[in-house]
Amino acid sequence: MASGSGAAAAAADAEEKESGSRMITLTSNEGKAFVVTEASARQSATIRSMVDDGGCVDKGFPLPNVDSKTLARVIQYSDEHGNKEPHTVDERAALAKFDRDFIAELDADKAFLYDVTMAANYLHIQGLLALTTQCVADTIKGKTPEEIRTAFGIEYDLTAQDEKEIKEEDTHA
Amino acid sequence: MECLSEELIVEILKRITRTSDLNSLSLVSKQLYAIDAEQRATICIGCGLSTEDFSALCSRFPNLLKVEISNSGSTPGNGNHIDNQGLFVLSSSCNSLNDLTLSFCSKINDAGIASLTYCKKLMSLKLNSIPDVTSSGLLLVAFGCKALSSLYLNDCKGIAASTEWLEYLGSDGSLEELVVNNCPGISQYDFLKFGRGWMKLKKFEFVNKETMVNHFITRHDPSYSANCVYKYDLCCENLVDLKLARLRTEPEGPEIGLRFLLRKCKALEKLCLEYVGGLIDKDMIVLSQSCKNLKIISLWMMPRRFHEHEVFRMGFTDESLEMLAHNCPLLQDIELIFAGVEDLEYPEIGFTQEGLVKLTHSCPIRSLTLNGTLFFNDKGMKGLSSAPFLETLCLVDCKKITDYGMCFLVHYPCLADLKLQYCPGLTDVGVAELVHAQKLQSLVVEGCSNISENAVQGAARSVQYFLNSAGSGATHLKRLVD
Repeated sequence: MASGSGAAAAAADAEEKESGSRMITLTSNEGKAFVVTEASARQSATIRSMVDDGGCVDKGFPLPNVDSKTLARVIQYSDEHGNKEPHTVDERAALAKFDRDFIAELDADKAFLYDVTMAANYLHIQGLLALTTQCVADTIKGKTPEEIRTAFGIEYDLTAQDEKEIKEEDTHA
Repeated sequence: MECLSEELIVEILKRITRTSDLNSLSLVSKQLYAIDAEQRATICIGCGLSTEDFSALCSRFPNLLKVEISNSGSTPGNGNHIDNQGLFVLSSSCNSLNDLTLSFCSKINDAGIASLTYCKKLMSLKLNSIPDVTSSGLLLVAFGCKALSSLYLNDCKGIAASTEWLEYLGSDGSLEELVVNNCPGISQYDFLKFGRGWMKLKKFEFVNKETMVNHFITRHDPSYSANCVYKYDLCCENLVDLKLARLRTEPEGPEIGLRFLLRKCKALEKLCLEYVGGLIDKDMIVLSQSCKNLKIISLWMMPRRFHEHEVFRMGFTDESLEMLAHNCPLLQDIELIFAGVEDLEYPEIGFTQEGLVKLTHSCPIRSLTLNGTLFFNDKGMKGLSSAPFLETLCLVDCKKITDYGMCFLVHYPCLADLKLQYCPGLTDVGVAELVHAQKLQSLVVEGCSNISENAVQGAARSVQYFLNSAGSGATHLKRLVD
């Protein structure tokens, strides 16, 4: 695009802002910078409100609670959901398949799944949070208490008396 | 999981709804026990629970929103039942309670119901077979539970005489749903006392407690009093969903009972008239003209003698169907159920299959249920093959349909779901057409003695077969025996 006059540049800038095609830099707690489209960054309600409140977009946004590995994975999700808007049935099906594959991969590495869950929560990415918490919930369904402890590495800290009482109450609930 | 914040564990637990899963979680660790106790929103209590045990549950789960207490399948002598004291404990310890269902609780009376007034957030109350609750108890609920927006009463014999509770709910309450089924002490005229309450109501259902036999043989309404002055100047402009069952009106003479609703509900989308005696074409004309948004209609009909020396006949004729076709452009779901018509032919039967087929062309009918429609035969099946939107067809007790009629089904442009119940004229030969065409998503065959289980295999993506009424569809048969 030609940028002969200042007015044309401003118009182009406005247009760019309008279409959400500005680029935004997100910095992980290890200092690594990730450049993403505004549309992708806006998947996060936290960043969205900072941008809309006139936050300094040029300087980028440091994310002290998110490490590089996690941020890269979160951006993979945000890019897919932010940069394209599914219109057709096929496009929606493709996005649903992306979600399925994305979560299946995460599910195989529970510690990483929790990192992504926490990042989704911190960044307020509702779709991603729903996806990850649902995945954890699905792991719990149909399991015995012992199996849940094993699956999540939870220490058993109830006394035998506690357990007996809870079990008795649970039979009525 | 221990690395996740409590906030996130709460998020995860919210996605687990099965009680057995939540119970397992409560036994995992102290932290999960505590979070589950704090978060548990729903419990269902059966019989066999002492007041002490119930009390312990109520204090363990202080944030319950929805509680269901049901003693179905048990007798009062058989183990503990929740009583008035139990209800008091629940009401005083669970302040967030907004949805309560009590079923078959013979130890609960007005004294227990009175404690519900502590539940300031109670929005939905269902009382199912609670014989000792009376009008006074309901009046207390009306006084105390200002947030109540849905009230459901079924088989509550004690509610009779005074209508003060209805009057109070009407003038000061915020009810949006009112369902009264099989309560012998409540008549259709009582609802006229609901007054201004009709304005806010979105759903109303009244099933008059009366046996079918009685309904069939008595023409005039025994609960009508000619000396009483009834007021019908009520507004019900927000009513969307209306069901009236087994009550009587009169086609001539003074206005009787709830018939007035049919001309007043401008917003109505869903209507079920189940054996409402005395309705005629004139009523359907008025209804279709005032309810332009009607989407679903269910008519349960039985013949009646409109004048002395006249034969039994239906109140509605093709004219009703024509009016619906003409005035209700959104109509998409029709159910026509006929009882006691074994010997009737046109004109006593009122409807013709031509009239019905015409309706499926004029309105975007997606779902059609025909039950006991002796006027409908293979010719009608052929006629429906040009119904442009028909997706779901349910044929119950349609004795005149044969395998020849089934051949046309494969030509229906949108048909996906088919249900055949008690159609003795259909055999494996007719079903073979469906297997060959491979067009159906689902097929349910029930009580069709001439169709074998083998024949239905592969006729649709999902197939269910029941030889007799022990299957799912028993309730769809006409309720002739009570």
